[in-house]
Amino acid sequence: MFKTHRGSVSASELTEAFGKTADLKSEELLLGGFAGKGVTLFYLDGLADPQAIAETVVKPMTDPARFPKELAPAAALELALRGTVYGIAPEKREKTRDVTEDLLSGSCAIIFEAEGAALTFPVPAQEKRAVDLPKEEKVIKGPKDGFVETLSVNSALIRKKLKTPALRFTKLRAGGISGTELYLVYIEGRAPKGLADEVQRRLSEIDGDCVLSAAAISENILESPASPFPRVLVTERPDKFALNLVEGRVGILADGLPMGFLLPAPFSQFMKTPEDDSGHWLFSSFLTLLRYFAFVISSLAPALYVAVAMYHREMIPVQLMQSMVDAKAFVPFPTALEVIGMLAAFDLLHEAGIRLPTPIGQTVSIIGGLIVGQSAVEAKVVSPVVVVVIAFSGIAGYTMPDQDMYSAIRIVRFTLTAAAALMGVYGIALVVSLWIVHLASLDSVGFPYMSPFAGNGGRHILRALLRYPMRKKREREPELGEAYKR
Amino acid sequence: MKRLFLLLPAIFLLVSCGNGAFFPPSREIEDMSLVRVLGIDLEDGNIKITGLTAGGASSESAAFSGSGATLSEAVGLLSRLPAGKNAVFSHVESVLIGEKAAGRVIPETLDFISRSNELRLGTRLFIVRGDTAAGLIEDSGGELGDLLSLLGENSPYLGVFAFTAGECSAALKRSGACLIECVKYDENVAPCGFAAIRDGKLALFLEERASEGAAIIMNRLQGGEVSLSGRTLMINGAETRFIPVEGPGGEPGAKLEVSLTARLAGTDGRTNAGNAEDELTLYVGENIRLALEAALKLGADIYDIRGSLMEARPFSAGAFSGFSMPSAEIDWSVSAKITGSFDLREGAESVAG
Amino acid sequence: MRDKISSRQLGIMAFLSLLSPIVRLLPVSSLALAGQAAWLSPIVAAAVACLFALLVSMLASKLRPQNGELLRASLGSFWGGAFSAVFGLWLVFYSGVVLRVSAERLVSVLYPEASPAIFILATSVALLAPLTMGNRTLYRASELALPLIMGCLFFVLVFSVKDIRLRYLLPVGLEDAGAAALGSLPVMEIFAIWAYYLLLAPALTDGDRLGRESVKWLSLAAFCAFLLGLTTIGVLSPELCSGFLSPALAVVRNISIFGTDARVDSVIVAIWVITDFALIASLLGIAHQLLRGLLPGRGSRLVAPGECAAVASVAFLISGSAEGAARWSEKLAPIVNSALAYILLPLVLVVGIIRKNSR
Repeated sequence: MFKTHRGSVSASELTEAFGKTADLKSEELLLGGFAGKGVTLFYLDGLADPQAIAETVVKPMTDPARFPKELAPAAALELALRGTVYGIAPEKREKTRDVTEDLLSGSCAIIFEAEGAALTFPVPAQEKRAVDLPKEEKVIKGPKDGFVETLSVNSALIRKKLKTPALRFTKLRAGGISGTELYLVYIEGRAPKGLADEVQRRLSEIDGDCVLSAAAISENILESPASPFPRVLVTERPDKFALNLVEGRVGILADGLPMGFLLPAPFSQFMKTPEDDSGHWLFSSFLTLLRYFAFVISSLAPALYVAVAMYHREMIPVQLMQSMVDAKAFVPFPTALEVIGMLAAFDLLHEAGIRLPTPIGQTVSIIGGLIVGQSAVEAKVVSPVVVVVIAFSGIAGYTMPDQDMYSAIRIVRFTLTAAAALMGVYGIALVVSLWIVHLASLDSVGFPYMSPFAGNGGRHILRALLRYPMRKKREREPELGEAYKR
Repeated sequence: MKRLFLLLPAIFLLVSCGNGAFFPPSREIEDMSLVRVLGIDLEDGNIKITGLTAGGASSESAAFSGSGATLSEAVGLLSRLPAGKNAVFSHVESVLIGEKAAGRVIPETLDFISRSNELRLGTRLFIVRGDTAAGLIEDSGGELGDLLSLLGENSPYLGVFAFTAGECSAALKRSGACLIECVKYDENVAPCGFAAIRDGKLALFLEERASEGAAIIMNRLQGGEVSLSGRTLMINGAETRFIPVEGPGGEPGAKLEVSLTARLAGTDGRTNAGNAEDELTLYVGENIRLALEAALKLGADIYDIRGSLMEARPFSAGAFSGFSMPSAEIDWSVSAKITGSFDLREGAESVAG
Repeated sequence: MRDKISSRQLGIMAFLSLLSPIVRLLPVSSLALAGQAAWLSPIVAAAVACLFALLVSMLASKLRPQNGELLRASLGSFWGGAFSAVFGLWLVFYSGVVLRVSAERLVSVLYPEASPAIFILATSVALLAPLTMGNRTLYRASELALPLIMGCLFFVLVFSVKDIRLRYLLPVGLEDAGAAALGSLPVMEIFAIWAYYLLLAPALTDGDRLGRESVKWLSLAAFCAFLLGLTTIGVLSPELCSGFLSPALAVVRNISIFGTDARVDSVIVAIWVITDFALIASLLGIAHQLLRGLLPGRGSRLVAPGECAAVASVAFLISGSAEGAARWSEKLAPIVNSALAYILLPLVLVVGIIRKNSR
């Protein structure tokens, strides 16, 4: 005997839930070819594939050989659920809300009025972008595939790279209106248990209507979103995503976002790229150290110049100082204003270059460089030394593998320059101390942000600074396991 | 933390508002004039400071003066230069002291340099003979700083090197006396021996040969040409070893063993060195005698022979505690060796023997 | 202030904090007593200080309560509270002295036309950040600052070594042992502040390692003092050195980078400000913990801003001149610190152990 438990789904309720929207299609389904059975088909135009609906759902359900006239709706429902219909993975739903979620995910729904239940069949439309090169992260030697907007494609990309049954995908949903589907991804036995649970808890607590951007996820799951320093590693590259999962991190994939999120992401992670594993370990180590150096230079160079030029001229060798004096002789603006103005101009050029379409963006960058770099100097609006310092600082910042870290540098740079303008090197030292205190206060999902440099007993510092030879390299990050044992 | 970041917009506004009133005063780099050489003289009982500024594409080197009852006052008056410029003393390489002023201002000068946060202890000191410091600065023009740096290269005698303010201060405190390089202007800036300072006053001058002897005793002779009996020798290096000895009355003394290597001008090399080695030995020995005579006359260990003995015997402090120049018994021996020849023509040097 | 810290973090913070008075006061204070052998004094002091640290750690481990409130655990609620207030207020006062001296040094070395007021105010305001963020943040920050300070020290030593003259350091022999021991007294006075970290600092996650970490970081501090003394006396000479208020800064001022005339004293002094900041922030953090318990409820939130205001007030009012402030820093404060650290705190420990055993 079949079960006769009655749910609460009805066609009228479903129509009302969608507010008579034009893209909600419905028609009476002739079960076994006979009308009046109280079976209605619903689907959302554009999300579901009508061809697939017709072939895999409508065709078998209207076949009298499968669904004879005398078959009761309850029995018909059970038969369809158990595979009589071609559509795979049918789900039985007894609440309107569940049916709406499935429709929004690209399923079609067959409402059995008498039972107050529905069967939903996933038949998503195949319109999706092909896997392509990552746009924001340049790849030199590594794989050239990047994430796309479709969650299933992204999860498949990860599966292809990590062929282990220990790879887990936990499905979640976030956003009251957007209803964005999320996958929490981790490798069982690699990621500390407490970490996966914690991230899942934070994702479940996202209290927003709309989760359609990277910040909607990253800022909502972090402890103190006010910090400019990125604490979630965002990547377009499946290989980078997979590598971090192997190291013991937890990842998040979101439907509609062509990127993956990785946690925890300490500061040292933002100084590494997967390219480091492609080159010789010595050279890769050198590049990692260079990035740390570039971080310091990019943050400090404009401030140091302001401090030295305005307060501590003794730091400059005589000949250099004489040429600086000559260069700045007819420039009417104070040094601090020059530097802050140039920093602003540099950032404006940077933003213009990003926002404009590629051919125009390149032209704007060239014109901007010519205007700022050459003409402004010739017109004595700014001294050439300032242009050199700002350009050097900017180029050093561009070596950051992560654009979010470069954005943080831009903010740090301004604060240090302002402090230098007010109080010289003492101002720089004071603000550096405050930034150090700020960095020390940050955590990434409970993991010290400055680990292994601080907060983790001082072990594994070399691991952060260098790339060990592959024979000695341990993929799993030891400090992750240690942190979540406590 | 959030509140501190909210202060940032206020800070930006304050950048231009608060200069000097609350925040430390800043100056623009183009308002600075770098002083490279400082001259100190006495004028009408006051101390007169002359500063020579560095020149560049936008401004020429120039000399400016200031007077005051004390050195600090005079420097303060010098700080405000014409055309709204400010003098920067952080790159002063050399301080010249006029011969007349040397009798009075040396302790004050050394003290000023030690306490100044702009001047360095590595600033070289010179005493100007036969002229004032201001006069030398004006006569020599903007290249004086470089000329003073190159004193040793074209010197007519060996043993030219400048003492720094730190060395002089330390020597005065340790032994009550110090040496300062002397210069004069004779169509060009030229070195002319050392001046010995004792108890803060100018005591005597060491002329050229005594200066060479002093350089050898202090192990600072770097080399150069010497003409002896019509022959020219190029001294490559000199090393002085200090051996502590006991005098006849048990007082601490020293023996200096000087070894020299030199080349002989001309193509006949070592084979025709003849008695050049003996002549050189006698020449250097005489220089050492003159230098030691000056020290004995002064009654002070101006060459820090005691320090050299201590370096030779690092763990026997007691042995030298009674060492003093008037009573010390100092002996010396010189050995010179001609190792090859060289061509007097400029840039040419023949193979070593 | 919240959160526990590790022994290693405590050791690092104490080490960085010690560097501030080491640079400020040594080797001049040792030279007056030991003469040329003053550069050996830190080695003698290290041996004594490490033994003291080990002994006190051992005693403290018998008592160390989970929440770090050692005074209350030793003396009970009333007397523990009273002593906490005394120590807390002294630490605030001493921090004010250090702040004033640090500001005066900035004026004399870097900003001759400025007033120390701006530096006092700026530092006091900046202190709010670490004080309100918790122990964990403050002590983690010390781990981050450590390579910066050590790099700076290494830089100074490497570029000064060529100017060292052996005749200023030698000769030394066994007969100088007595002088070196005498010269170690000022060093011991400086090391006295270690006791505050040892006994009054926040609760530890690994208290059993405290003795080992203390010896390690105290030895490193003594070694740095030794190197600094060796370099300073070796470059300047003992006679010249004793004439300076801060001979280490004189050495830094004369550093020459590969023969250029560029000077680095501004950057070095500015980086050294971080050690002063570490000292003041950590002492205030300890004071915060001691005084917080006296102000129940919402009053405890006023302790941090109150401390910053008090430190600034002490710095302003302590003396009308730099010389007066220096006198506090060089003479009076070390004596008080020594009395509290070497006499009073061990007595408190002993009383606490006796009380615990008698219960």
